[in-house]
Formats: sequence, C-alpha cells, structure tokens
Amino acid sequence: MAAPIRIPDEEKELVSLAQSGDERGFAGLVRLHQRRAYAVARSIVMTHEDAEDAVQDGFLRAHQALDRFDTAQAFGAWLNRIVANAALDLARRRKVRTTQELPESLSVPFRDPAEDAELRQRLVAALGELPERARAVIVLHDVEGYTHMEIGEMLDIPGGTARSDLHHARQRLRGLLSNLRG
Amino acid sequence: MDRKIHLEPGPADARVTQHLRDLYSAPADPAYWDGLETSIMSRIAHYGEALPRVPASWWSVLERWTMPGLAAAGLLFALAGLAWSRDQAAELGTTYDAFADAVDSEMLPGAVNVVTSSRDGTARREAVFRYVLSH
Repeated sequence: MAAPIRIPDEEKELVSLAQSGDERGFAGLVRLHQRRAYAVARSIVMTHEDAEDAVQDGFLRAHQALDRFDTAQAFGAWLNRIVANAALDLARRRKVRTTQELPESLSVPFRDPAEDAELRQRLVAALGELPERARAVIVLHDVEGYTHMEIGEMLDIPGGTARSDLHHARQRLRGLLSNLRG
Repeated sequence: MDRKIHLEPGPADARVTQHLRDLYSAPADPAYWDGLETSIMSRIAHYGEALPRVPASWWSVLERWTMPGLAAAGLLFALAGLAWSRDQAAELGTTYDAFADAVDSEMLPGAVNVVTSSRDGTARREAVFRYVLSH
C-alpha cells in the first residue's frame, strides 16, 4: 500500500482558497509551482517560447479543472501531469521540425574551441530527433535531476517505464551523436 | 580516432550534460517569474470569463436535466401509448368491418338482416356480434 502523501499546509490552504473561487489562492499556487512546471514543459518542447505557452496553457487547464482536483493528492504532481500533456499537445502540433538535417559525418578537431559550439548545435539537432517523451525523460533526469519515480508521476507513466525510456533515449542520443569524430 | 559520447552506462557524458543544462536551464531572473505569473493570471482572467469552469463531474451537467428529461420521456411514453391504442382501435374496426362485410355477403336466406337499414357503423357492428353469437 502506498504511503500517504504529505502535503504542505501552505499548499492545502492555497488549494482550498482557489477552489472557493479566490484568485489569490490560485496565484499563490502559480508562484509555488511555475518553475517546476516550466522545467516539465521545457523538457518536452523544443523552445523556451513553447515552454512558456505550455505552462500558461497547463495552468489555465488546471484552473478550469480545479473543482475536480482531489485534495488528498499533491497539487504539484497533478499540475505537472496537466502541463506535460499541454506540452505534448503543443509538441505534436509542431509537426515541422526546424532542426537541420544531420550530415553523414563531421570532422571535429579534438579540444578545438569550436567543438563545444558544434557539439551544442549537434545536440540540439539530435534532441529534435528524439520522441517527445524520450526527450522529456532524459532532460528531466540528467538536467533537472528528477528520479525515475518523479518523472513517471509527471508524465503519467510507471517509474520502470521512465527508467527504460531513459535507457533508450540515451542510446538513441548516443547513436545520433556517434559520428562526431576527433 | 573515433570519439564517442558516452551517455550509457554510467554517468552521462559531462560535456553533453553541461550543454543540456545550458539549453534547458530555466530563467534565473526573479522578474521573469513575476512576469510569467502575471501572464498566467491574465490569461486565466481572460479565458475564465469566456469559458465556464469544468464541472466537478461530467454527470453533474446531466443532473440538471434529470427532471425535464424524465417529464419529456413520460410525455413521449403517454403519446406513444395513445397513438398505439388508436392504431389498435382502428385496426380492430377494420377487422370488424371486413368481417361484417363477409357476413353480409354470406347471409343465409331467411336470416334477418338487421344491419341493412342502419347507416351507423357501431350499430352495424353490434348487430353482427349479435348475429354471430346467436349462431
């Protein structure tokens, strides 16, 4: 049986206030959770602007569905799932990828100062090749430092699936970057 | 010499992770977050007026329509019953008439034709009944 979730008193009060229709309560929830929501959205979409859109859309959806929120749950986990869905919707709408085609091979002199810029450019392109969920898992784990379980909660997948997604995402990324030669 | 970027197994490649952090880092300026909060709340205020809040449960929308729905269903049921009974009565009448015509045409010689003088269908029908019952 899962252990009961400990919800901070501040969050409980804000949720209660927001559910009663007081916008100050929801503003407090926005203040409390917007950074993490941004991290979730940014891990899924390709640009900062899209992440901002997804965060705003996610908070709007959460506000619309606030009456359905079960106060026994952690608001952050619930919100992050909504934001992740908003980001996935947005990412799917962006069918046309702006990333450049990867060349067959690229000569990069080892420890060349230009290498970092090149690697960065290649990394952006390679990330664009990954499916949204794989990209989200690798960014949330390697950049944001979330555990598999936390990522699973955010993306509404089991922790084991997040772990296996991470493994496959790393393999895929390694494959996409493997033709960097030095 | 090939230089592979090792992400798995073990810790992720440090340089790749650093680049990922640079790419995905959230804005550090507190003013940015104040601005985002304002944008979110403005968007909620804007769309909140246009869109009603999603109700607590989808069936709560239907709940409001329960009584009118039941009344409408009852009325429809009553109308359907009335139409059916009228249809049945008409069908019965047609059967009686057909039967009466058949009896008229096969009336035995000497039998009293009690309906020929009557133009009233009901009286005719009753007369046919009496005739049938008397035989």
